[in-house]
Amino acid sequence: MARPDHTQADDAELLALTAGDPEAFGVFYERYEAQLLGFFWRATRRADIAADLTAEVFAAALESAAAFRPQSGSARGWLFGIARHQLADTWRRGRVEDRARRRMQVAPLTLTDEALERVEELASRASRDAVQLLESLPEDQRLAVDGRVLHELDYAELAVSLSCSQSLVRQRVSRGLRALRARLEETT
Amino acid sequence: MTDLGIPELHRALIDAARRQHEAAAVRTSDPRDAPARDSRRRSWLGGSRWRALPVMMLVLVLVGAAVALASGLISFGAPAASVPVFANPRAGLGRIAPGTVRLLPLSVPDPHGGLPWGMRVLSTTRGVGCLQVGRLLDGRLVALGQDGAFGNDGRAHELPLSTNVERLNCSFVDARGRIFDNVTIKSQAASAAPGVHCEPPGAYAASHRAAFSTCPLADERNLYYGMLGPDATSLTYSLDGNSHTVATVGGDGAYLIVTPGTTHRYSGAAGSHERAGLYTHDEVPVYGPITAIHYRGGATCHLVTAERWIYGPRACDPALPEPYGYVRAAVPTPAELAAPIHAKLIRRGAGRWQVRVRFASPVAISSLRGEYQLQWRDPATGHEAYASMSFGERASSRYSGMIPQGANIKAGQILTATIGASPLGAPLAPGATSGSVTLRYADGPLIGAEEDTVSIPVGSFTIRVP
Repeated sequence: MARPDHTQADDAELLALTAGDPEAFGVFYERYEAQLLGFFWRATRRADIAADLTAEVFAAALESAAAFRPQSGSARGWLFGIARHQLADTWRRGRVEDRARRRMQVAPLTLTDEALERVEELASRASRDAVQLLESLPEDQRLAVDGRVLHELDYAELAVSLSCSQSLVRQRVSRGLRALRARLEETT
Repeated sequence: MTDLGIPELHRALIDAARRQHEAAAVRTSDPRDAPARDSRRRSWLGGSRWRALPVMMLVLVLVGAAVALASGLISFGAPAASVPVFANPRAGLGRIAPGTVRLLPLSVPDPHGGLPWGMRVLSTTRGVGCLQVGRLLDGRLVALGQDGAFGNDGRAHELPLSTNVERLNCSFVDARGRIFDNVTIKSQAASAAPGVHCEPPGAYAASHRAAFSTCPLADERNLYYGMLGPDATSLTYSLDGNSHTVATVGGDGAYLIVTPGTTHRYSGAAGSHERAGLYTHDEVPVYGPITAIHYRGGATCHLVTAERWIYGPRACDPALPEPYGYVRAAVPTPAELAAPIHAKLIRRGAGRWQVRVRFASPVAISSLRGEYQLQWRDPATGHEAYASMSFGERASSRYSGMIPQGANIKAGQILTATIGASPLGAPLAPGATSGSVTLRYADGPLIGAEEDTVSIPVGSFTIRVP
């Protein structure tokens, strides 16, 4: 029997389909693996920790896929919410949590040095250009774009961390992204 | 498939999703499955024969001549810094309960020599038990001035009872006040200094490097310790290809194993097996050399060596309820908890509304296990929002760290929370705001473990914002 093609399904549909078709979660994984690896690599500069955290986040996402409610926000935001939590927990404890993987019986991965290099290349590739461009922005815009786009914080959280209003954060993000777009067009 | 960084993880997750799907299908198709499993478990327990074990008293060397000799060579410096984790008897972890601090009769030689290692336990007024490990000198638990700790002064610094929570390893005591916990720490600095992580140079990004000390592999240790409960009489572990069976200590099933460090890089579960599990804290020993736990009456938990990350009954082959002998806490019933939830609209300036939620706690909460949670739906965004209703006293105003902030609640105590005001969200938009209050209650040993936490409804409310 031919496998259904899930590549056209949106994220919420993939999570809803996961309970009945494990391959749907595979497509969800493919969509976000590089982004999560990049997110963790930027934070840790360690491919092995980034891989470990990525594995834990996806295991946690798989475990609670059936409970995801699209009306509560995007699947991407939900996934990165788990990621932020895991990262904060890791710095606090000095270790990467593995409880979700154990609950889901996801085996520890044995990553060779070549595999770690591949992870690093993939994670850094997505980050490198964006980070270089980001550093060319004024400080206030850089912090706002970094928080909103790279760290997936919502405007309310950013407003608290940057000690300004949500509307000002939106304005800085908007201006920063506009400037980045212009510079990207200049370079291509 | 796109160019994946970790194709093995992709496959492992799909396999996990498939197992989840198949398990759900089995549960749906065979309602007799659970009783059948229980029956098999009882049969196995009843049928197993008790076998005497060749117990080697490897770790049971009381503090003696070796320590006396060592104490003549190492002088005491100032005690290690105390952290106010046990500041409030009615909040957070609680205060150390009188008479519960015990230095266990364990003195484990260090693989590279020097002071032996020991373990201390304590319990608190809020149902928590903690384990603390350090070097032993003159019957005191100490850390050494080396590996970057205490300015490398070479002296012994007594460890206070109140130290970093990460180094205390706390869990919920069972209904009979007993501690069940298992800890694996790899890459522990030989100094035993609290909060000092021992990592090779360059292991961390510059922005985080300050949090870690650097030291050579020879100054790293792997520690495996815990309390297996009063029924555990011995355990078997494998080291350098040899199998060792050692008796547990005291009436708590305590054990402590110290081996040379093996961790060259921080890679947790993504690394090779020997690197895996830099730090774990669980119901059964995981990511370590322990292969079996032997219980009074003949039961043995053979830990599933190929799948050490599994916990609970499936950690043992054949299955055995773990932690064995743990008496779970009684959880309040929905009938005991049902209470009316009052919601009142409050106007805060033009067009700005808040909702004050109020109810009387139907039961007393006197341990860290219980916490009320308020959940509501914002009519503007449709998003569900949650907030822990932590009331009254906080554990400590000076140190938040990892200490849960809940506090004791008396039966009948009035609890309130305001939605639409900081910290519980922005002003409410017009429409119906509905919500509910539940009690989240942990009945297992692990603090913060979602799988051991049940949610019991208290009541709900709906209110229309103009």
